[in-house]
Amino acid sequence: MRKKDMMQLLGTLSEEDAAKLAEQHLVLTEQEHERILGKIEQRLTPHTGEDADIIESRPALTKTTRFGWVSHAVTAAACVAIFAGAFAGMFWLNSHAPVQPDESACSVQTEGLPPVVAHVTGDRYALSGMTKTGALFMTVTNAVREDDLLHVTLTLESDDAVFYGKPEQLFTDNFLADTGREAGLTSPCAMAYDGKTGDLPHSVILEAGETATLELWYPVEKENKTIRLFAGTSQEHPYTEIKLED
Amino acid sequence: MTDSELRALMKSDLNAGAKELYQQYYRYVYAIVFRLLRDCGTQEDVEDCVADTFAEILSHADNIRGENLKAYIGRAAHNKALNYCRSLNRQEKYTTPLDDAPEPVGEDLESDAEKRELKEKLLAEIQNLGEPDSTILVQKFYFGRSMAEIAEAVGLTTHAAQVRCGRALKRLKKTLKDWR
Repeated sequence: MRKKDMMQLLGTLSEEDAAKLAEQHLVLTEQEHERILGKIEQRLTPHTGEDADIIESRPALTKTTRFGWVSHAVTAAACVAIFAGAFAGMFWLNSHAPVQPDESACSVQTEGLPPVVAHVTGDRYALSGMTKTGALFMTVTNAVREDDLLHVTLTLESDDAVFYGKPEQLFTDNFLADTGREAGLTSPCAMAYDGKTGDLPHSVILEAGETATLELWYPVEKENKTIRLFAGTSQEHPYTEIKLED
Repeated sequence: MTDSELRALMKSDLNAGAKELYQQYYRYVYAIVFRLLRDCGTQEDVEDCVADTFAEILSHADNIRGENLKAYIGRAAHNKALNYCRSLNRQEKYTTPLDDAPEPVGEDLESDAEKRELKEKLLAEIQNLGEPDSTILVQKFYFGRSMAEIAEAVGLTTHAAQVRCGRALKRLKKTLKDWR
């Protein structure tokens, strides 16, 4: 038996055989264990920002949104509402000096975490998490069915320079969808920032007036007619309802 | 530790629960993730996916009340890895679902039954090599690790691990040749 044949055969193991093989023979080095545990801790630990503000809690305003479309075109324009709530375990804290909330501001308190402010300004919704100054605004500008995928496009705008330290958390751990495919929320299976796939940027920096596009793809079952796009990691966060029509 | 004890620990002390959960299930999660990502991801992708899986399980610990823990963990790892794979293959939007992907075909054409039999024989003979040889071979030919990493993991020098690997491979080839 050649080495190549052996590798090929081992490469076609069933999940059950692979699990047995690993349980008996997988040995990770200390550094590998530390690396993985470090990454787990990173994902579970909120990040404290500088120049952060204490925002007064208020109940979230919700404005559900409806998209309707036939399978190849958007047939109805819709107002879009995305609320940024607090992102359990995965977002950054605002703290220190209190600010005067304006009338359009609202926030959602998540247990154990200080609130993150969402500013409602017309049909744009803003998230201000770990920002140096200003706020980041998001608007869903398109949602279309592509076979078994839901393709959502978000436009990001800033009224001042914005910095997020961990965009992969912003992108993958927020905007989870209930697509009906699995019990619980679904993460996007693909994403693109400013039309580019591949390595995501290490930070999101938008100067005043600049915009960027974030595209997310979620798997859906063909029979699902309603998708909820949650601005957060659980179904307790505000959501946008997207209705699918043939 | 039983499932209920582990659940209770995760609820009362997340840090201790996280460590215990990882200790009990890292091999299981790693195996599932690795199997799905080995052809489309790097070592770092595998580690990221494993970490994401555990983080997600710990974030939703309440959801697994009453459910079989191992089954829940397996499902979470499987789904995470599939999503990673789709994301890594995102250049082609309409990718073939991994479960439906055709089995790779070797250079020598063999029937499915023969292949299956050979696979089972191979796994059994790898086990029969004994430790640390079976671990060295699996680490090298399945997990694709370097000899230095394998040596550190099994507590040998790199040279010693290399020599053991070579000898184990010879024994395996001979056994399989005799069997055929």
